[in-house]
Amino acid sequence: MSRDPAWGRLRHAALSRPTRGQAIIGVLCALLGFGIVQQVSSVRTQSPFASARTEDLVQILDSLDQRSQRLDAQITTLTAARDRLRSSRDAEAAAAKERQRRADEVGILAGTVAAEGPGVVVTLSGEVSAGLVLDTVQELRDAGAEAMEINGQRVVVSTAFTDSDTAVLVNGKPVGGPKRPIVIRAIGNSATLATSLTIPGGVVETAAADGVRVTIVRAQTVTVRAVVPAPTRS
Amino acid sequence: MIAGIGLAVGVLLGLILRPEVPLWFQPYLPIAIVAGLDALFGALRALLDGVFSDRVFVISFISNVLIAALIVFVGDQLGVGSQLSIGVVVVLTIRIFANVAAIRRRLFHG
Repeated sequence: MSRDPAWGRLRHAALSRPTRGQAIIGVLCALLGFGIVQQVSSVRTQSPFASARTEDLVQILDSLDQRSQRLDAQITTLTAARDRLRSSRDAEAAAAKERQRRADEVGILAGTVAAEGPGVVVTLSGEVSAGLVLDTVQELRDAGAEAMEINGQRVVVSTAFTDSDTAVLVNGKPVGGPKRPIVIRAIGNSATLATSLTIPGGVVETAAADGVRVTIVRAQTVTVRAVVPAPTRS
Repeated sequence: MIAGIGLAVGVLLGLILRPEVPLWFQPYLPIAIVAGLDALFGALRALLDGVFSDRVFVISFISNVLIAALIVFVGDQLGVGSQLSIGVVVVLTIRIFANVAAIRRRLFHG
């Protein structure tokens, strides 16, 4: 082996005295080793993106962009759904309110709930006939009375007025009499109601001809407490 | 001798200092290293052939590194940086294999 020139040259190179040229070679080799270690350590420590090329990074960025767009679209959809649900809840509350209002209104008209508001109190004293009471009630209805009661009897659509020997019967119950005047409480525009009774040839004049005295009192607050039971649905 | 010591000193320095590679230099460092390795094996082969020369080694080392870096740089500018890097690495690797094969034949008559 040692006779071979290659081994000899190798040994010679390894053992020879350093020259200036060999120093430069040493520096270059040191640079090379330094670079290798640097690169290896940087590959180990850096995130995978640090060594990725521009095109790869652009692709990754693109996919992230797409993902964020997708999520944005999802946010929009879900926000819209949430708003829709919220507004439908609001609408439901409004509908419930409106329902209650309508129920109250209808209840007042039907006579199933008590009512209070501006109106008139009409007192009929004397020999009152059922016809006069009916005329008065009709007149008040025409004038827009929303709720009426006669001596504690609520006047509704089906209320009947009947003459009897001693008194007028409202729904079969006697009201008034020789000593007790008939008091009609009506809720509505008090001016309109009062005027409707006092027009020439109206209730007041007719009653006076029959010897019945009619007094009309306009009031800011008239309370109609009497109610009729709500009709049961069949 | 000196070359081996230099290599060891470089590795030690790198391990101790743990420097950060500058960002602009990152694409070039791996290619430069492969080019340097190629020059190193070429030098070893020349040494065994008896035609080794300090100047030739220094010049081939530096020009190898510079040209490899230049190719990668141009490739990056042209938008084919990754492909050109692969090309340079393949060529240099083939050369390293050829040099190592020659060294082996020289030492063992294989």
